[in-house]
Amino acid sequence: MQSRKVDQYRLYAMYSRKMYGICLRYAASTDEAQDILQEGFIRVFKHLSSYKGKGSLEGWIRRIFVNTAIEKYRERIYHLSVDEVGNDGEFVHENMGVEALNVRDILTVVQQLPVQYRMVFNLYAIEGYSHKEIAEALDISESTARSNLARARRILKHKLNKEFEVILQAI
Amino acid sequence: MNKKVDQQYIDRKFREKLEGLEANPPVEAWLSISEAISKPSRTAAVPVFFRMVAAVAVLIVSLFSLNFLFLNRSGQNAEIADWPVQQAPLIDLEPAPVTGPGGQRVESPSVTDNAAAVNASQIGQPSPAMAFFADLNRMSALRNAYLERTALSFLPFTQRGEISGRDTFEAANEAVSGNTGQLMLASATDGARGYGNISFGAHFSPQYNYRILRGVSDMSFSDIPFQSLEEQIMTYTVGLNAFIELSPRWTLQTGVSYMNMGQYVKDIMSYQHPLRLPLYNSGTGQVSHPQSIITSQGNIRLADPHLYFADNQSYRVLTNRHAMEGANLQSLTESQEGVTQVFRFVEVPVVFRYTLFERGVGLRLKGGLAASYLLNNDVFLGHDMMQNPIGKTTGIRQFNFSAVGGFAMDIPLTGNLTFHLEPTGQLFISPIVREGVMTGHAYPYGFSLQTGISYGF
Repeated sequence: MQSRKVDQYRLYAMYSRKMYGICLRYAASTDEAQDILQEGFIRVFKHLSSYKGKGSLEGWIRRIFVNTAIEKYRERIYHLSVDEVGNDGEFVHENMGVEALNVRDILTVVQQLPVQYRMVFNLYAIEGYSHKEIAEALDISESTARSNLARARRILKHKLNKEFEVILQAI
Repeated sequence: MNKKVDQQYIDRKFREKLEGLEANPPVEAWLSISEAISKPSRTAAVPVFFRMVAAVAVLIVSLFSLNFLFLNRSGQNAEIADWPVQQAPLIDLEPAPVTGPGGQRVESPSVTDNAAAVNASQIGQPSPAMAFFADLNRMSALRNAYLERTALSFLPFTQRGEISGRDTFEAANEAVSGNTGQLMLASATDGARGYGNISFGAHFSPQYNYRILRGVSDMSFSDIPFQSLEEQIMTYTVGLNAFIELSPRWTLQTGVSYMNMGQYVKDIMSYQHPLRLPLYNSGTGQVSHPQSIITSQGNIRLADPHLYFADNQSYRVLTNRHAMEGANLQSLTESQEGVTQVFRFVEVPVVFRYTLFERGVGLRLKGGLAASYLLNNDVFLGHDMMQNPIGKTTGIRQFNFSAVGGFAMDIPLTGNLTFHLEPTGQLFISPIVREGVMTGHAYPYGFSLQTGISYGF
């Protein structure tokens, strides 16, 4: 029992930084990210015996966390209004200077996307999901997925404002 | 075409920046996960056990208090005047030949009796400071305990204190069981009172504290060399005691104490602004302070926004992404080294004391259990243990149990006052940190020299 707990802690220590990074991308706040982190590791420990060594352990754990984020999104989506789910008009943010554009700020921009746009953008642009896979995962149509992705990009671009080109060059 | 390129460009740039994003999760994240995957049954058992120990302690104290109040006081006092005991000339008391309980007349000790006392001392009996005679022919119906208490009650406190409860008890017991009608001699030079008596006292104990680290496997505590990075400290304990004599040799000790324990965590440097300005932007973080320190006895959650901490030796200081962004350590002044963790408990001990010998000064062996409830877990800068806490230790158990053992030296002062000098050891039998917070267990222990005074009734 105790040795199992030690193993769990070592696994947590090994992957918690990377997985927390994923959680932060899918969450709107650190509290939400911590919820996903907790739920994700509980699932990892619960299903660890089902990992057969096919593929990397990190990839397996990563998929669990992405799936956890998707399920959290599905749980939340029923409690959100349409505006919160995706509405360009809700997104307001001041311009950002070139000097401020670092990983943290990029993360902040993504976190401030409406929740459905954030999910679609993360799954498509970073995880490499297809529109069909996104549609199945989020229980939306493919056209909605495409539309959400386009709006997410537009918001991100708008967010980075006129200096976007310059800033990206500087990244 | 340009739009397509633009979209891919955005995707690629965000992917490059965020795909490998790593961040330190909050310190309490593991605690939450660990608690969620642990079975809850163990935590529920602790308070129940504590309640049982407390209930037993209260029951014992209540019973002996009642016994003391109603038998040793009111009932006994009414009968004392009727008891037909006359002291031998060796004892400077006036004769009081009256009837005993139930109206029976008990004869005064005769001249022969007194002579027997003299003879007894002459033929090698312990030379008594006092001798007490009673004709036990008329006492056979009395209970041993009653006999012993009542007999002792004839003597003034100062003299009664010099009569051995044990010797009197044994003599009376022999006489009653044998019903021989012989004149019994009960004499002693020992300093104990009869059993059933109760004493109250107070103690102060300077205490040396440390802890035993016990890993659950070879991996435990191996990442951070806590043994070389943490030091023992001196603290104190104060409390009130009650001593209840269960038998001539056994005494129950209980009471309530205010106990301090802890340790010094060294090689942690702290920095602050020369003008003691806050070092963190309170608007950016969702936590009041972004730093924590890992110790063998829980994680310290720092809370002073004027201090920044750095670890000289290993990776014990955890800093999250809100920590002092852009601050330049060079402009800060180095403050004290290290922090002190202090754990303050209210403690209820249930300790049994066994009399090894008693020749004026009594030497006793003691052992038992103590239940303690955590009152405070403040952390202080440097070696300070009283003022300006800078944070708290998290993950500490609220209820803890410890084994107590040692020696007790009781030195009679004047009247019913006794001075106690008790070298005592105490070891936590439950790990002080909740399961799952650390990969090993820390069991605090302490060596103290309890000094105190008690008053016997």
